[in-house]
Amino acid sequence: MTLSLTLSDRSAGASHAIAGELVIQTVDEARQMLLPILAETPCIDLSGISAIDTAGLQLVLMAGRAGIGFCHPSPEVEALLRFARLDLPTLAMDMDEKDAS
Amino acid sequence: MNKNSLNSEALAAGLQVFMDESKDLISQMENLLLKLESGSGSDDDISALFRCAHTIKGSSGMFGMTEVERFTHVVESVLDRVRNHALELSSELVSVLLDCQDHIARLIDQACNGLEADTAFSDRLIDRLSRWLPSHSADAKTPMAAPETPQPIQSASGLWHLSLRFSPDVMSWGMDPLRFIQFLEQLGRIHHLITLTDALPHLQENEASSCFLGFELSLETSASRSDIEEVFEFFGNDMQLGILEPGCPPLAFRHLIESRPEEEAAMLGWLVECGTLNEGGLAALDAPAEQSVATTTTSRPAANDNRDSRQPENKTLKVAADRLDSLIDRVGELVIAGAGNQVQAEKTGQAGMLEAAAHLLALVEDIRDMALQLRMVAIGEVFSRFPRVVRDISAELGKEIDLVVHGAEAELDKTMVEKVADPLMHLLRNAMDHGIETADERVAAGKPVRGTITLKAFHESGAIIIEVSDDGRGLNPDTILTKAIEKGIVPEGANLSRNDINQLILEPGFSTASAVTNLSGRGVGMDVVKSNLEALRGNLEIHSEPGQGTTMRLCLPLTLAIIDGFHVGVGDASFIVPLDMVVECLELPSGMNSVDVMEHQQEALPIVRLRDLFGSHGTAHARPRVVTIRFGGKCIGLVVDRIHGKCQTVIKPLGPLFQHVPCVAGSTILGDGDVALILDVVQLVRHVMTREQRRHALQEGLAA
Amino acid sequence: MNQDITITTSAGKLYLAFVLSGEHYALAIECIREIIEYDTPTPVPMMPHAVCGVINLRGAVVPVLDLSVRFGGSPVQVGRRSCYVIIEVCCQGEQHTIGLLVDRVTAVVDVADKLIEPPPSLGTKINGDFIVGMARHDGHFMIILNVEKAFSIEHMSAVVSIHPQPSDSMLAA
Repeated sequence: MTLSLTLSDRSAGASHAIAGELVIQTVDEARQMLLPILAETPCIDLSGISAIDTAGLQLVLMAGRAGIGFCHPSPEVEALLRFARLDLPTLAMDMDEKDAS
Repeated sequence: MNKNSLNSEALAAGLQVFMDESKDLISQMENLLLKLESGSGSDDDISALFRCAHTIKGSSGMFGMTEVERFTHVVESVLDRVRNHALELSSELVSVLLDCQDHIARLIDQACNGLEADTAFSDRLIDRLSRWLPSHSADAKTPMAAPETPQPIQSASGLWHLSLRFSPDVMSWGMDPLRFIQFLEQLGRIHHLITLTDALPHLQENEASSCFLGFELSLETSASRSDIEEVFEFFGNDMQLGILEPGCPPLAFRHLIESRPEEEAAMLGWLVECGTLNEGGLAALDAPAEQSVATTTTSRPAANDNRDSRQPENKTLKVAADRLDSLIDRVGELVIAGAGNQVQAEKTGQAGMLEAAAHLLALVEDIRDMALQLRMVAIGEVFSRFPRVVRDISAELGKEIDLVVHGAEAELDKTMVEKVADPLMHLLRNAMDHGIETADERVAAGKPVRGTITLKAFHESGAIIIEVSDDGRGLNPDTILTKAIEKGIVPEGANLSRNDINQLILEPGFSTASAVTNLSGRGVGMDVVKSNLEALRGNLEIHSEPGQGTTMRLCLPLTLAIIDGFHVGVGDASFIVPLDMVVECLELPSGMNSVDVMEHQQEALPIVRLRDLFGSHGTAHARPRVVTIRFGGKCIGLVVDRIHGKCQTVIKPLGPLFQHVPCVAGSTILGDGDVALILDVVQLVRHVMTREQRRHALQEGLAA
Repeated sequence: MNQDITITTSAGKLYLAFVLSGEHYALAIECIREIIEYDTPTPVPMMPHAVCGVINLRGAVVPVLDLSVRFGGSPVQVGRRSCYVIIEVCCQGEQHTIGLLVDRVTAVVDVADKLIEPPPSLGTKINGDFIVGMARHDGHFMIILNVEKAFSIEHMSAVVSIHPQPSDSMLAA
């Protein structure tokens, strides 16, 4: 199980990218990676996620609530979101709309 | 990370359950396939077979074993067609399915041990299976093919509603809630699903490995309630599963809503959103509840009740074998301590004390027997793998052979069951290979074309007897004797009974097969089988009637943990001889200091002086005793210094340091705390005999 | 785990020092389970003389070795201070308990790694493989034993199978 968090070019629409398996064995690690960059309201590229489970999905949701945005979900991420009838948390702009509704 | 290792431990525990279950299912599949092939199966058996594959596919998917899932899916599709009578279960298909079943077992094994899955082999089997599948199904060869629903959806059956909440720890125990929910798609179609995210804590606050999500969903399916409950069976008490059947009364809704921590309004909203509840239903819910009587359909905290209602007959408890072993160890200690207690009580000479000690010991011995009983399993556990073996080997040999099994319910100790499997397998192969004639020979001999091998187990005076009989050609005493003489196993002109001659095939260096086939001739002779059985304190006898068949009769103790022993003293040391071998005790006639044979009842009784053999020190007895023991039809006398009498002996293994010591089988602790060694009489006599032979050879060499 | 047990004080690791036929020896303390009083062992026939027999250690049957014979000397003379040092050794992935008969246990000593000298290539009676090194303590040299090698069950049980059995002497008679 490997997971890595890397900085990437903002111009591509994302500030960071997480790659690897976002699963029960790695979620605590992922959380530790995300906490320090919380203040930057990062947008995280998920195209490198090769596997995701309930724990991974839950982490994405929790991070979304904390103001982290996500983009470019890999097919694995997309499939699970679709099954759970959930949207990928995106950047703050949309969040506000949701909160308001 | 600490947490990670914890998780993997818990994951391993969940995996263990899955492995046990899948092992059961795979052996069920095998039995069903063989039964169906023999023509004695029914439609129920076909359905059962399908369910086995279906369950394996489902659970392997939940544990992320994609290759098992992918491969089993194809097998399941074929079985589905058989179930729907679209396909005949031919003998050829059974063969392929048996190979598939083996492969599933292998794939699970690979997944559990973290090995690379043998996908190439899967593909080869899928190729073989493809001729039984409609052409389009071949796409299953690409990984993660969209699972096809096994049953047609009957939209008329209405919607089920499932309300799922999980204990926080389930994910760390290796169970992934969404994976399980996705499995529902095997039963039908998920109409709508709501992921409840309200309980999610803030990212900073909590660990991410606890489960905070809940789910409400509606399902279109023709499956039964128990089918649905079964999907979540792994969770046991660690989830709350609320199930509303289509068309259930308002009271059921009420119960569900009340059992949930969420607001009633929210729950009602979700029910409507899922489509389970419409406006009319919403109104009915507000009506007085008394009208409804159907309490049976209320949602319950799932798994606990479910188990009771679904399997009332299954009152068994799974316990890890090592926990049982340590219990039995400790009970063994207790017996020793009890015996020690009694020895002390005897010293006091107080009647009350003695009585109390005797009572205590009797109770402890009862407990010991009960504890040993816990380890008893049916011999059928071993027998069940043989129909397959017989089937495969008879095909290989081109012989038609039936296997008949009697007494599969006879019980013996679990450790024995494991150890007896290999020798039995060998006897079986031997009977098929050498015992049963070819079809032509059978017809010529006026026998039915199909040969029969009978496997029979029963208890007899504290031992278990297992017989492997065939109705084949039987042993030819003349051939055996000639060959034994040729190989120098018996001297020329030896006068042996027919029974004695039959036993010769168990001697080292003997093999009756004139053409060594790849079955029995695999380097392991009957002598190895025999010595393996002797290591289990069992023995093997051969009975044969030329032209009628051969019976190999195996006699084994029920347990390896305890024996009835006969306690003797040599020098300062104590030894235990297994009581069932002891015939009688005699006094060594005086003036026999250098002779190795004594006369007893007009027969020569060879004797072994343990004192000399062991080079013992300590006080010798002026009048040594002879313990006569019998094994394999022979008697031999062991000369000892003292006889202490019978005792129950808990066997303690001696450990690897002593693994090469001949003639000592183990040790035990006596009532007074001293250690006594348990003699392996068979090995001891063998040791003495080889030594004698060496001595003769030496003397001859000197004389020459 | 072993690192947890070895208390790394200012100096180094802890060793149990004992005396055997006049020689001083030491064993790393983490392999030592306990020290118990001498009790006559039950001899196991057909074992080499280095194996004194087995004892009952609170319900477990434990083999005991005469180290002096194991190292090529004459058997230990059992005296007032003789005792068994019970150690744990690994064999085929499993922990096994064995007892060592020694003349007397002297002390637990603290020896820094840098004070351990390599075993001399000449001058010891003992097989060099059995030794980790030598260290000076209390005015004399003590031999630090390599538990793995000196008490290798694989090795010792192999010795059993090829050892000329003592009982063979009676053949001559």
